[in-house]
Amino acid sequence: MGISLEKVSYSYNPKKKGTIYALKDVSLNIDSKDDFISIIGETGSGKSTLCSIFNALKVPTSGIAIINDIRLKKQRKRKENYNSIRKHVGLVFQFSDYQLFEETVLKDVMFAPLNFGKSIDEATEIAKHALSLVHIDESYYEKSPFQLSGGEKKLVSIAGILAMEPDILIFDEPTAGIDPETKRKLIKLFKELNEVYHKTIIIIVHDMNIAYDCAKRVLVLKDSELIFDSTPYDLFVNHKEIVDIAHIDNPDVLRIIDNIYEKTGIKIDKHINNLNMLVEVLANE
Amino acid sequence: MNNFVLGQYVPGKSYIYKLDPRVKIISTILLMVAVFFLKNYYEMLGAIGFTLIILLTSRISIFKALKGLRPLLMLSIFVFLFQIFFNKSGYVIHSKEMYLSIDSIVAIVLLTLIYFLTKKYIKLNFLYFLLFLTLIYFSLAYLNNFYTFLTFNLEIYKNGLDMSLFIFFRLIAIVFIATLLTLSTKPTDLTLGIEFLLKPLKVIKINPEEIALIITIALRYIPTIMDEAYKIMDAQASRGADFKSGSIVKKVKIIVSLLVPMFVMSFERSDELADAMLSRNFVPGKKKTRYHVLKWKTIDTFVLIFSILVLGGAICLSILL
Repeated sequence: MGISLEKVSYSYNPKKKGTIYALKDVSLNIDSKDDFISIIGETGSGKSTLCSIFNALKVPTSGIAIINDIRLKKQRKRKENYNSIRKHVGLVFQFSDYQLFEETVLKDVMFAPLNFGKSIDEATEIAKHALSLVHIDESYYEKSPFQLSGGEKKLVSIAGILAMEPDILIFDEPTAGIDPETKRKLIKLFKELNEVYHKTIIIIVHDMNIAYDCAKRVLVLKDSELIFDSTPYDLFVNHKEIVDIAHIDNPDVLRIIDNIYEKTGIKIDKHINNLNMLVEVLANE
Repeated sequence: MNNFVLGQYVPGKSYIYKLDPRVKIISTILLMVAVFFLKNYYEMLGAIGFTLIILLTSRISIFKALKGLRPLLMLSIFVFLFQIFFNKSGYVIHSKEMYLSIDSIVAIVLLTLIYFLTKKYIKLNFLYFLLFLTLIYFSLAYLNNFYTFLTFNLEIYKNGLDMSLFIFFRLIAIVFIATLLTLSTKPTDLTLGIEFLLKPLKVIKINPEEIALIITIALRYIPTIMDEAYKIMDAQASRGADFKSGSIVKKVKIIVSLLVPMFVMSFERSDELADAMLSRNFVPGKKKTRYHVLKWKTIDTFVLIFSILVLGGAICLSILL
């Protein structure tokens, strides 16, 4: 179970000389339970390729990738497919339009369970549960997915993945182009899935506030290489040089704490995840 | 996907690249018409030699031009064999007794099996197919040791051979001329040329600029839509959709899951593109200046006159001979 990569590289045309790697010698292990990982890095640093490998959509050109106890290999025979990996690791794409196609919301969420051989009744049950997880209520079930707003589409597409009941969930830039209200809902959902349902969550984000708030572990990619793998606290407090190298921002909380220290001399413990917690600490002082 | 090149255009620097696309399109049409005036395969060989000379002097790789022939190979082989077997006029130039017996049938079945099993490992597909045909010929001609069902005469007639060679060479000549145009002209230049040549359509209220714009936009969005199709396939595959195996009903369902998002996104995109063009003051049919302006040069006149002369020569040949 889980994901384990050893010296994994990926290149789009491996046979060419001087080819550019989308991933280079990445080694890591991810548990299938309780972890919350945030992958950060500039655009083009290989984040999306890494997630495609997690989902067996791409097969590494060199190195060993073992996901859910199956080693990824170039597919020779037609029969082989990686559906058991996709059941174990769910991937939510950045654009929900890539995924929605059925005439009703409920049917769209049922697509995955039906593909995995569930009966219609079972699939309906699973789909309804998945939709309730993302707080889409019954009035939406018979609507066309194309009538929904961007944020609602996102939630439905997430429900479509949750319906596969994966142990590991990957979200590719889930908050890009999403309104603040849905963003808050999403963050709440990630935490709930992680804490209540004990799923491992992997999110690709450019918003460091989310990374610092939610994640228990951060992976920093720079020029196709994994340059950092530890806790967010370790990254933003102890390894500021990595923050500079990878061209990423500091989370707002840490900036404010630094500002307060500069102006008033009050030192606040940096083990604070978000602004709400900071407000509470300040109120107590 | 990353190697996807639109059209067949190969960048180069010779004179043919400097020609005006209008001249190139007109000359291509003139030369093709000229080919249809030729009457026998000696002349056809001459036409092929002529196009080869143009290819060589314009420094376009012959392999690239030969690639253009590939889609037509099976068709030309079929036409060739059809003419050889069924055109029975003129005198017999080759006659051979053929036998359909147990051992020749076994040999043919074995050969076919071997051919289809090993086909994908062999690179020179066409030559391999010819070898396969020759082996079948020999097994029909010489294997008659056990119980012969049927004996027949394979006769090849002079006119049949002439006609088959003639049609085969004509196909090659036409494909060469067409590839000469597509290999040396950018798709955008081609559209510019087409736009100019369609100008007479204005009389019947069809605006050539709009047609050219449609072609340009379509060409521009082919890679984008391909890229999108791959992403949608990934997205559905990660929900357990299997695009490769499964029953027909399942396959249809899965193709729907690819087509619906593609259509939805294309419509949305075209709406957005139309709005973006309007906001940059684009009005259909309104007179506008352009970035690429076609310039007529002396060499263009020469090439045009030359192609007219070639067509005239071909017509004269067909009348005189």
